Amino acid sequence: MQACSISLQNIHLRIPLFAPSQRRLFNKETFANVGGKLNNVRGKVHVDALTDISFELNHGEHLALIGHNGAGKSTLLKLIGGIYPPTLGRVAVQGSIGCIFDVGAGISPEMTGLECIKFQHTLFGDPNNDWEMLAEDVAKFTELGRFLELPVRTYSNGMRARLTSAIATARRADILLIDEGIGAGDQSFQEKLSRRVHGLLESAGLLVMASHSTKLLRNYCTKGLLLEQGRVQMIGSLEEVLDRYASSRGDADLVS
Amino acid sequence: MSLVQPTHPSNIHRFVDELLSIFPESVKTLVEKPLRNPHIPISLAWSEIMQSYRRSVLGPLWITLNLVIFVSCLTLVYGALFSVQSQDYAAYLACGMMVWLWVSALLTDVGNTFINYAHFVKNTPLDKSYLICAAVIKQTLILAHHLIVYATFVLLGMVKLTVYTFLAIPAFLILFLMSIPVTAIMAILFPRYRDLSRLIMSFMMVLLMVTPIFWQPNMLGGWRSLLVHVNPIYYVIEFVRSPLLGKPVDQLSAAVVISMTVVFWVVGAWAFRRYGKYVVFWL
Repeated sequence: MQACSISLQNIHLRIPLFAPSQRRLFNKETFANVGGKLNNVRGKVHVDALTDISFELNHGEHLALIGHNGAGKSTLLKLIGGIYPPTLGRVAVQGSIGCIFDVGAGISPEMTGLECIKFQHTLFGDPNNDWEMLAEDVAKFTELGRFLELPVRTYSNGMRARLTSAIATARRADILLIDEGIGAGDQSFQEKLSRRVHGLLESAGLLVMASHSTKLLRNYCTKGLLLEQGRVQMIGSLEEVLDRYASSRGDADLVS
Repeated sequence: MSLVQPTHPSNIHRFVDELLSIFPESVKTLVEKPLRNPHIPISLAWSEIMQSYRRSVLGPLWITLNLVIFVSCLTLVYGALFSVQSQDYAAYLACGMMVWLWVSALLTDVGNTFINYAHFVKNTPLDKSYLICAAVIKQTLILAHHLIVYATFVLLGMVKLTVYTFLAIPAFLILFLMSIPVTAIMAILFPRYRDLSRLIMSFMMVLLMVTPIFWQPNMLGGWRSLLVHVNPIYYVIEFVRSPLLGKPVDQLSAAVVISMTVVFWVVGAWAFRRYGKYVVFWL
């Protein structure tokens, strides 16, 4: 495995909004604390989703992105993953990236489970491995058995979640980017999945994870980064950052 | 679902390397990844076609049947209206329609590429050039289904094979080449300007009628023949249809189509490199 790193220098990300009645947004000041900053430049409305973000992550670091809804956690992950282009600043990523975002969405209900596996393998899989290997791995892990030969539309939500999370966590990468819930299925499957993700982490050099679940974050991460309205409030050890986050909001929504 | 794997990977790779070295950087962003991993766009295109026809008895053969039904019904009416031989008219109409369906897809369907694949664009690092190529390969697969109709015509002797017929191969190749940058342009414009697809849609029927597909270009006399000659779609149709019907390609059509291809490549490759990364904000 090669050494991997992520380096962000003075990143700004400005997302243009195209709404028919853009100007009306500015009559309301109700969402002051949620989301990035809404701005209006020459009649064009945009969100400053990330502002002046700089940090470096090196091999072996597991970073948790913490912040309330719309603070920019997912946006930052997508920026690191190369899905969003930075408006200003420089992103330098070394190592292969594995994104685990919204795992279920790419699955077409008409495909059978096996076809899904094959399709995902063609698009994102390791070209050195056969898709049969992946299929075997997923079949064993999900315990879906003969159901893999049926179209996904016949699956229950839990079965579908098992399939998608198993496919998403099958591929090894140097850098893992995980957004929110990869938690799926019942309790025993959750535990199994957690072991699988830990297995993935052993071969990955870096992890960046966004979640609201402190339990999940404590399970995987060592460092924390607190985001608020697209700005970095604090970087430090996970516990410090979680404390700061809790004190800034009150403990109310930090159960789980 | 079978994936095409290069038989001699090393040779293919060397060929691709050499091919890429002569392209400018902007063209490379559009073609490099699909050329190196052709199985990705092929499998995207194939699975899309298979899925839209899943659970139907005829499956993708519906593409063929659609053309058959269209050509038979129109031949019945228009063959009589224009009092031409039904056989000739059917062949003329079918060949014209095959190209028209491709061109109309370039004006409408392919523009929705990123919109249809929004999940990939928004959630995965899958390179957008794969999606562009997948859209063009999908058109190729559709054309392959249409060619069944053409092959039937040849077997029935309704179309005569001549030396010019072979020109259809480079003609299709150029059409394919032209489609890649056109798809890139349309796929970037459509998500950004959501009215554009509606606007074009409302002109499609008119375009089909004013382009010589149901009728011969020489039927329009006098100043009205201008309507044919300023229409770029006419040249594209003529460029592919003539060899299919066993006739020589006229030089003007070839010149127009080839220049269009060059211009589209310059604009399309630039647009894709410049604006491709912003598409994610427009979905």
